Amino acid sequence: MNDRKKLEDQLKDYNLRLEELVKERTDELELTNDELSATNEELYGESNIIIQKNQELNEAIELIKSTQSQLVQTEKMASLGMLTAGVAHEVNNPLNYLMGTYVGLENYFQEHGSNDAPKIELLLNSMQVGIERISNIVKSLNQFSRDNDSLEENCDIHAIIDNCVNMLHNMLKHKVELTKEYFNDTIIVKGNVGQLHQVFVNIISNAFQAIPAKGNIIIKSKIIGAKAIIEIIDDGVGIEKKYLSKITDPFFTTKAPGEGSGLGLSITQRIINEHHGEMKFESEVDKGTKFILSFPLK
Amino acid sequence: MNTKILYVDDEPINLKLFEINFAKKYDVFIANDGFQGLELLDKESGIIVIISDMKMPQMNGIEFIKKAKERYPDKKYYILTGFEITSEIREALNTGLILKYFSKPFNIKEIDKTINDVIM
Repeated sequence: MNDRKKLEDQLKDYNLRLEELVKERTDELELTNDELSATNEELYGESNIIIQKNQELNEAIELIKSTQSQLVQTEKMASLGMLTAGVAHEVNNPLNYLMGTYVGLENYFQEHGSNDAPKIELLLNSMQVGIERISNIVKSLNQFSRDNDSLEENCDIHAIIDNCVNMLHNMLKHKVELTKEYFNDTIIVKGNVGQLHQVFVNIISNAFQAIPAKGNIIIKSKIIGAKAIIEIIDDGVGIEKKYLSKITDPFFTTKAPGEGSGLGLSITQRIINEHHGEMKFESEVDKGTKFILSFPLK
Repeated sequence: MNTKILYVDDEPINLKLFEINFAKKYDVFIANDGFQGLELLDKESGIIVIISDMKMPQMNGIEFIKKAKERYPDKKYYILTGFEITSEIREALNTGLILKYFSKPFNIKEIDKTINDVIM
């Protein structure tokens, strides 16, 4: 009997200790759990920070890229401007001799006559046309790289496109049939004459480069509502779908190294943005590409 | 009596051709730099129209015209330049130092008409 009582007491004692032990362990576990979930939260927070930093880094890289492209372009245009201004002056002076000679000869023959008036007229005319053509090319070059940042100039879209075509004439003439379908009145938008020249030279050059052997470029202009719309359409190789979203990225190019900087369309896009305009494009491989520009009318 | 005009340019061919082309209608005086131009203005009091090249050694067209205008504020001054308009030329137009600028290659009708308008 005594033994039994002893055993029962012992059992009670064990039970009690077991309960205590379980409670102790549970407390410990809860504590660990709390610690773990705190650590977990901390880690989660940190991963958010990492994602955010990553995003910031990406944005910084984009900014650096576009700043770099702007710097390259600014530098390029500054050198080009200096070069063309110098060349223009050097060409314009001898051109002035020719013009003076032409005027002098014309006056001379008017006064004294000649034995073969039609021939003299032909010779004089050819001289005049030649002088005018050189003079126009020099003027176009000057327009292209003018030292002027104003966005308040009156820009005659047709005159600007004509100038650009004039400048690119030598490149285009054997390869491209160029058709202009202009709106039947002058189109004036507010902006920077020099920069708009860059836009059209870029897009027309791209169209030209997309044409492998021989092809067509059509330039259309129209007015819709309060907007001037200009379309430049080529029947060249077109742009692959996967590249369409990238073609205005700075430094994106599919050309071989050294053949293209990948800056042309990114600069074009930037200039158009600064003019509050829009640039859209449609393209199909082997069919060609259509660029649609729109600018608010003055 | 013909109107007296002065043309200043550092290139002799330009001077000669200008003279040939305008000699019939005007009394043309030529000078191959600003210093000679100023001397001529002092000597020939009847000159009323002055056209100057822009880029010349030592004294450019605007600098020459500034000096000339100090002495002779009532004469009419013009620039004939191979450059497109520069900030210096624009300023000269804005301040009234020059009445107009002509581009090279020169357009004889434009220059002739301008002279005609001011001497009328």
